[in-house]
Amino acid sequence: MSVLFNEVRKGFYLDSVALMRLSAEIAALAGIDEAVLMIGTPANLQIMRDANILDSTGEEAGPNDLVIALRADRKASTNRALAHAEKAMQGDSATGRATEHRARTLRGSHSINPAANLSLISTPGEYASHEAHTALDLGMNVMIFSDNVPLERELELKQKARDLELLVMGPDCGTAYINGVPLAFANAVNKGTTGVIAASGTGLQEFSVLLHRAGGGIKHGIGVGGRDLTDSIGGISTLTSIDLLANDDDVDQIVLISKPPGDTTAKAIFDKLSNCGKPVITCVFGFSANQIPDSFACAITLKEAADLAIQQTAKQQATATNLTPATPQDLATLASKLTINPGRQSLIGLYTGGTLCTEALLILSGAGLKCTSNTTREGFDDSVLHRLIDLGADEYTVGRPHPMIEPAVRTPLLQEAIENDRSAIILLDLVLGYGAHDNPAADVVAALNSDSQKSNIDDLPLIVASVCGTDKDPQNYQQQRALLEQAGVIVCNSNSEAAELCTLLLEQ
Amino acid sequence: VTQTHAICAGVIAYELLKKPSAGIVYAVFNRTFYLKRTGHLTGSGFNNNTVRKAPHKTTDIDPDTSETPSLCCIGLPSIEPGPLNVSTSLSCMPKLTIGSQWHSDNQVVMIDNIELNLSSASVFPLFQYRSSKPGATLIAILCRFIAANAPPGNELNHRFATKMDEQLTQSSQQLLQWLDSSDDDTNCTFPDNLLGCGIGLTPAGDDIIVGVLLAMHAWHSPQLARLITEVKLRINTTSDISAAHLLAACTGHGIQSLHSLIDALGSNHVTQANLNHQISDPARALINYGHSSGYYAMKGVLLAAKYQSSNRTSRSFHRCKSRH
Repeated sequence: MSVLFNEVRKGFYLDSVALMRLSAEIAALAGIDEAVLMIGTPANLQIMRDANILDSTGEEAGPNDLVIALRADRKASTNRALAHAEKAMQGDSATGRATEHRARTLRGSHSINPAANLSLISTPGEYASHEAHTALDLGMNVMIFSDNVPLERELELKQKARDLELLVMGPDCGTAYINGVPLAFANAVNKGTTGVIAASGTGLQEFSVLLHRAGGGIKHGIGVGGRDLTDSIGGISTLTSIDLLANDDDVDQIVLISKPPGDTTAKAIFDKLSNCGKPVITCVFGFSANQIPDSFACAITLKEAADLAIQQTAKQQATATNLTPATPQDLATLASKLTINPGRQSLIGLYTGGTLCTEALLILSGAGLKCTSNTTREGFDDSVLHRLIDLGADEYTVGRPHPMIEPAVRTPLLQEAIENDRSAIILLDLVLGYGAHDNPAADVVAALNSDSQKSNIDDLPLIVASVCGTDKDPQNYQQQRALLEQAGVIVCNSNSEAAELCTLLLEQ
Repeated sequence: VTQTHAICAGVIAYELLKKPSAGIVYAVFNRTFYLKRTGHLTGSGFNNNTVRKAPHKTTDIDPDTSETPSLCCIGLPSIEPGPLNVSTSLSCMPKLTIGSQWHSDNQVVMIDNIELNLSSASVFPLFQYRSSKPGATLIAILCRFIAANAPPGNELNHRFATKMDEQLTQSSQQLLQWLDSSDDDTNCTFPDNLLGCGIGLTPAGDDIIVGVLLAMHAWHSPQLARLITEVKLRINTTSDISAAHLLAACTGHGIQSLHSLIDALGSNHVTQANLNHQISDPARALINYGHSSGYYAMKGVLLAAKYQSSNRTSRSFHRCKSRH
């Protein structure tokens, strides 16, 4: 035998989010079969009447009143539920707001917001795994922004998360989108229907930016951390992410962005992706198409991956799309209009985004140009002419901010490259978005201007750049691009296009 | 006293506050609060220019009797431009008590210990549309956008969420049929359960009607006057806050992103090159308004567009005539 109980709060407003949250909270309490909180308009009262949850008290409600309608196993349960509602409404309600309360620990924070299901951890690496364990124990998924978490700790955390059916993103996960919400270093992009799994922060940023500019959007962008796809970790978070994206009805395709996985891990991941029931696009740097299952769409660059994702969406929705702003012919035309002084021969890439540096290296190397980079296992080879530097690598960031946060870190190297008589091309990236510097173009422009007193201004290296950003970003893509172009920088639409332009120029 | 100034004020809010008026703090939320005008001041109003005081006698206040909204919404700088909205330079929400008095004079509003100066505010005016007809291709794009962007998971009891969705769908369909009919057609009645249907501050049914009203204003629909009459007849069946937004929409006033979307649907500025963005950009801006208010207002726009584009009125008159 259940008990029906209505209470009417006269002249009481709560917004929809607060009402739904409170309804769900109360319905989850022990002994409560059903709980509904609504304003007492005639239309709403009719719905409640039809559902047999309105009593004579509720019938008296007016359009400016809040009706709390409960069905419970006994009276004591309704009393507990009302006490809960009272407490919550005092915090949320129109009569006063919750006092700002700043917790000092993860547990304290969780007690304030027990509905939270994601914890973002950004402590020094040595403490991160302890906090991540606490978060998992509290039933939360974890995004570990911290780096320097030992490999064995990462494995331990991911195995625990797998057992608890939770997800660990990272360690060293700098970018994610969950339900369209950007987390940490991420760009302001449209929410859409694409799900991404990325073992690369700037790779995810560049992909999401290019997808956004072409009219697409991201539902989830799950960063799994750079080591997840090694055989030491076995792709635990990647495999969990595939399940999550496969089960999300709002995700209509899955994109995988990574460096080459370990052999065993690659097989497990590709097997799982093959059976996920959704179209799959891969952009695995260093893998050729014959290393990818035939059923997947294989992209060599992030731009290709974004174009494939847009084509896939267009195929499903039969919509018109805005594809490929620059074709190879366009780049060839542009290259033919630019000249490099014959005395200048070398290219130097000064990157703030590690994956963007890797992508450029693969494009240049793929065109037969011999390049050296600190992103490779071998490191720099001083005998090689073309040099690509990831300024976000540990050797450049010890005791300094990351160049995405403080791009001035790049300035002395940029000035040195401009003044080097052998420099033919300087290749740059600018990464915008939340967390990034508020005006990264200014430092590039300042470095160029400081050199403007050189007697022969025409004898400068070409500066080729790409800007990873959108018009919605706090820095504004178009404004940053315009600043660079006004200073004489050749700005390409993507990092891969910038690298392809460089290959054309060096081949001339 | 905390001094703040208005950055942008909707024309209805501005008119409501700039005259010598008085009222109460009606509702307070996390980023906004509503003021209700209970009357306008008569006689000398405030007699001290340096220290602003409330009127001494209640006889100084004449009660409001007009049909214009008597509520306005004051918020942080991020509040969207709209007819009832006033964005201010406040960096955080002040502590306010519901029912406490406010009064205004000479473009300064005193609310508890806040002094809000309206003199430098830009006024958000009545929107001027570029076209009087929606484009069919653009309507199709909006239709797809709406289908793909339903509001985030409804945490309301599933049984009620389903019932509410059913009621909204049925009532919307009935509204379309009613628009399709004439006064002579007694078989088609205005839906009684659309206004006030929905859980929140502005029920989803009201949001739909706001979208229909503004779109019909923009496209000079011959059925607009009929619709306004029916809405005003039922205005007491929804909350005061939602009623204020509906009354504003009856005069063609709405939030900026809703106007922008309706304007983008205009048939005379279709550009093939950027067709999707033409709709999806303003639609995305609108969908972020409120929890689901923007979404349901968009559904209202679509309903009006469907009605308008099929020129239903002429067909329905023919049908009614043949029936008689």
